[in-house]
Amino acid sequence: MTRLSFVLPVSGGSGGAHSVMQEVAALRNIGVDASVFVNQQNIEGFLNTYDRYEWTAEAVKAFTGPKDLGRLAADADIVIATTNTSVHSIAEAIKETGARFRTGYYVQDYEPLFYEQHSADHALAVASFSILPDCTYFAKTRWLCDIVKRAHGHEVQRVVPSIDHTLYRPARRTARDRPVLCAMVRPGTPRRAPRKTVAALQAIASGLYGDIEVKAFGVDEPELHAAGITMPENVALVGKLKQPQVAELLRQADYFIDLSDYQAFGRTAAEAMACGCIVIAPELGGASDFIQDGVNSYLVDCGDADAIDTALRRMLSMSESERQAMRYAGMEAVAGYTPVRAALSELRALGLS
Amino acid sequence: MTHLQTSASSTDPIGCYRISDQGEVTGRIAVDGVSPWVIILVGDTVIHVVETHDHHDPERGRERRFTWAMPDIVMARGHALSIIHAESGRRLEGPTSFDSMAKPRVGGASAWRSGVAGDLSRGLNQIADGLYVDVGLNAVEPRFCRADGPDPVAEGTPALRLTATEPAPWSVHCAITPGLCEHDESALVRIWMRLTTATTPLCQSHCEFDLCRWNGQRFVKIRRLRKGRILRRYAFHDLKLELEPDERQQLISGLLFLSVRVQPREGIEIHPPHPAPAPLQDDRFEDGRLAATFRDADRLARLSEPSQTKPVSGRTSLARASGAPATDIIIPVFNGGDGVAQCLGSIRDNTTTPFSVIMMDDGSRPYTTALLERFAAQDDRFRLYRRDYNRGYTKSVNEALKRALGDWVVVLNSDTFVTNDWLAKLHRAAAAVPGAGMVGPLSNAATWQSIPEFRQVDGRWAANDFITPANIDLVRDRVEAVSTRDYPCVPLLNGFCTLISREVLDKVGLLDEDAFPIGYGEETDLCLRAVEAGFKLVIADDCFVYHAKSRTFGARTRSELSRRGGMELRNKHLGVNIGHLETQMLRNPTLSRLREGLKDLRLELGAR
Repeated sequence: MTRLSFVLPVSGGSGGAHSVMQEVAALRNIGVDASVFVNQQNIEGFLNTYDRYEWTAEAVKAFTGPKDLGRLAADADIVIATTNTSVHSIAEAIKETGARFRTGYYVQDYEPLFYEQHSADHALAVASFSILPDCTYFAKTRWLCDIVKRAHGHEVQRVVPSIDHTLYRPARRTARDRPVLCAMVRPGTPRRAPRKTVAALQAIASGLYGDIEVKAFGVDEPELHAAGITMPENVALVGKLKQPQVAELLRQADYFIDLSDYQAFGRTAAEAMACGCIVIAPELGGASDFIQDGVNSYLVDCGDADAIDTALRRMLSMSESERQAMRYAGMEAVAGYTPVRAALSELRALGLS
Repeated sequence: MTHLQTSASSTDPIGCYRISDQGEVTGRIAVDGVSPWVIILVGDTVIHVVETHDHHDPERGRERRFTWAMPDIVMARGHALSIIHAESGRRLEGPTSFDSMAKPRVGGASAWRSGVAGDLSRGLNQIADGLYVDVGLNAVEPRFCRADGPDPVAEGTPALRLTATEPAPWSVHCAITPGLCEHDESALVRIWMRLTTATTPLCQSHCEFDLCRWNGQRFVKIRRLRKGRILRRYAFHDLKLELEPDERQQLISGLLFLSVRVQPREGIEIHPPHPAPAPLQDDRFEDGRLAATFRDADRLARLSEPSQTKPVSGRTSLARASGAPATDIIIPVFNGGDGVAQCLGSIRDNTTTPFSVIMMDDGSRPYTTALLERFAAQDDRFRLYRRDYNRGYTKSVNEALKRALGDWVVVLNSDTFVTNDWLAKLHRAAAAVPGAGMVGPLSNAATWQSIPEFRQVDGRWAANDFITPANIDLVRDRVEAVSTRDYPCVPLLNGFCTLISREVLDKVGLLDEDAFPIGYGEETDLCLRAVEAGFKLVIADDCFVYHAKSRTFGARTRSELSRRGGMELRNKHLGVNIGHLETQMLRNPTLSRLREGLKDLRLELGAR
């Protein structure tokens, strides 16, 4: 049985981490010996975030450094990086221990975009694409495949994204007076455009586009205060949520907006569509893989305030029949994003099926 | 100062010292059978280890003396000072306390008190106001010098370069000045650093940034600010300073420091901390940093894009390019004798467009120098510049580039033999490709530009030894007959013969003397920088220049230099997939067709 190990040195909660965990779950379910290695400083938060997976005790291991990672991965056939830091950890593990496993890099995002140019972090993120020899690169959107290919000359295999449809699924809604719109606010991640998002929520909550109930999640009051952002009074701050809570919120919402500067995939928008929401997502990035503008949701140039306004007007002024058609089209667009399909596509990308 | 007896007894002082008002400690120890090292302690902390030097005093005879400039930070707080002899442990006679100065000068790292370069001692060294370096006791030949610092940082504040013969841990302590923390809330401080050599494909060293205070004897860590990694190329770390009230007080007293501790390396360069600039703003992105990082991705894409073959319809006219610009041909010379003379003669005889030759004699032996002088005397287009010692290929070429005046230069190895109309052909290729910045010819031994073969069966680069100066005119004719003058664009050019536009040098700079002092990678580095800047690299596929591939270094040295050059390239051009670029060269259709057309060249030459 092929042994795959994913190195995921995070505390969890991001779209990329969700992606890896549900795909590892699917790999295990179809009989692949898949495991996850998390660095020691994040293991506690990680296990807490993913306590709904019963296999974590067996297949999630902590490593303290490159030598320890090399030891843990000694029996692996393929060790797969998931972040730029994990690429470096794997490279150091190989150097320290002489390990001979194959390597892969599951590119969740183009991480040089996370940092300021000329910073050490930026240089390391760029270098992560040239440090693992004979590495198999794979990613879930055309945009990601394209940017890695163009910038670094690597062929990148495209794999299927995954959504946990046991969580993110439509549900019969309770009767409401007015539609519900929600958005994620992440002050700690500037590219998620928290200020632009809050400004849009304020405009929506003020009635500019009709009588709409507005909810924000992903942040709590202290974090907002530290960032100098004030949530408008008529926007309900739901707080930081775990995945099941996010899913419940989306199941009861009609609309979801993501005004990030770019999205390598747009996971939450896809999950919202799976729950029956109509979404607005950034056109820069990979969301165009599953969003056809005006057909199953909306894409917008988030750098253009007028374009955002236009998209909101289009979305919030649809008739009931238009809304229903778009809702069904959205669910259909992401229905094929299953963890099993994702797992099988990854095996193909790695040449294992 | 106490006089010493020439014949020492166990009760005689081992030595003595005194301290001037400016904090200079001078002392001496007896010579007879003693180790030359003395240890300076402040309180119970070893602050410095000094080597004494032989001195002949007219009255006292032979003795050993030492001098130590007490760092301001030590003078600032009067603590018990003692100096002991390293071998015997005996104390030298001298003052054990001194009047403390007013708070140390911390006006910024602007006044370098020990000059712009020099040796470092083991222990605490003061480089400049508020800038100290702790050198480990095991460091071998530690040295410091001023350096230019990273390009994006203006203001002219120099960087500090620290080197040692063997890897050594480094600790650099920078005073936190009021200017770095102007506001009560947290301040963001930026510090630029890099390693001085590359020894692995991604050379990096772990480092730690600590907030420290000087307690009169040593730097004591208050807390860790962050960890980081130093790379071969300049990169910055941003550090958040959130000071408690008592720490602000220490700052005002000049006792608060930002300390950088680096794992053992041969050398580091560090630009002292300064306030981080305001967050980047952009009209399009809320995260203002994205504009630059997307542009950086575009820069990398320019390097990785498949080579653009620009076919010229049919064959272009072979008429002389009488309109070709005047070109400076730079020839770095280090010995080579008759081979160099052949090269120069071929230029004189076969260059059909305006040119001048800059011969850079880099410390050659007299025979070669005399040959160069003869050429300079006989033809005023040949100018000679000479150095009495060898500075290395890269410096030699750069010096010539600075002297060149033309809009175009050629950097030409001295072990080459050019063929008729060669320079005109290079210029024709440049003129045919919009955006061309560098042009190279075909050759018998120039890696990807070699014909008819570029690789031997054993995988080594081909030298096509059957091609000699005696038959290169025939080779030239065959190349001209077979070439379709596509002038293909390529990601890399071999540096044996390269036509370079002045625009390229103005935009990307000269060859990198720091990373490639003896060559072996400098031309690839220039090519990559030129492509990143948007220039095209072109092969003049109708032009042939013979390359004798003479050896300045033996095989083992060449292999080591090549390995080091490769490391420097990979560390300088992070994220560039060199293998992908080589694949582009391998699959270049023009070169493939050309080689196919010349596959019988050996037979053809043999049959004549």
